[in-house]
Amino acid sequence: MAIEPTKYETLYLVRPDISPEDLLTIQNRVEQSVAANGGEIIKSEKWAERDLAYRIDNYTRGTYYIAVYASEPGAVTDIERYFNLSKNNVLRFMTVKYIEEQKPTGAGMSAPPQASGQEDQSAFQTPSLTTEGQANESAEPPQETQEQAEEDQEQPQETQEQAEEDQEQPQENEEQTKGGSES
Amino acid sequence: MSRRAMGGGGRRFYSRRKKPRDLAKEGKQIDYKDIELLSQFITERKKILPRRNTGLSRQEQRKVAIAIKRARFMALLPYTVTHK
Repeated sequence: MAIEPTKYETLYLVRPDISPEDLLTIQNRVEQSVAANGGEIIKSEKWAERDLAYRIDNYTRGTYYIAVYASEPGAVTDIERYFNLSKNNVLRFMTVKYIEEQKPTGAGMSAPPQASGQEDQSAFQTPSLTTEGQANESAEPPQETQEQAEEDQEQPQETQEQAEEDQEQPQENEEQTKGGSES
Repeated sequence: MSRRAMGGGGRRFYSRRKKPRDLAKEGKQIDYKDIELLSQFITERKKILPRRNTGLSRQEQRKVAIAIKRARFMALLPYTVTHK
């Protein structure tokens, strides 16, 4: 068949205390399955280690690995069958059609993007996030106040006492912003 | 922050925005791994926001909803705040 094989993306979550050997066998098994079905591995790497949004088998943390490959659908069933058999190591897995990075229609087609590279960036920004979106929101205002404090320190004409007073004020602001975000 | 007038009903004050939002125009692709983006479309109690509040188009709302559900399955996002 002349039809190009579909690109798939499999994200799988392994337990945090997995032995390196088991991890290697899993990764090798994925690559073997793809090769056996005449496919091609595009990417196979660690995506993130992060706290889980909820407990799975009493694990609160896990490591995500991602595999992108172009293959016949047989590879997917093969990989997923293997994951189902190794449930004690692989907590979750999901295969979706791989979406190439696309330029928005408004921007025109003059500049073709580097498909995989941009996908990477968006993927690696997310791990730093905590599961609570609110945690980030409350973390931002204090940073601003710290910047203010630094600016105040840089002004040379002020006496030390004044500078100390300025340092105290941002702390008050910090408390206010915290209270505001909680309500 | 305009609070829309709701007919009847007691405690309904979480209509946050009805500003139209087009993720495609923002150059953002809806991906279930992009938790930072998806968490903009869930409530404090981790429910999926309705379209009247997200301001997304019908198509994008659908994509976002599916992405959130995928992320939930992979334990990237919680289903609820009271997970056992």
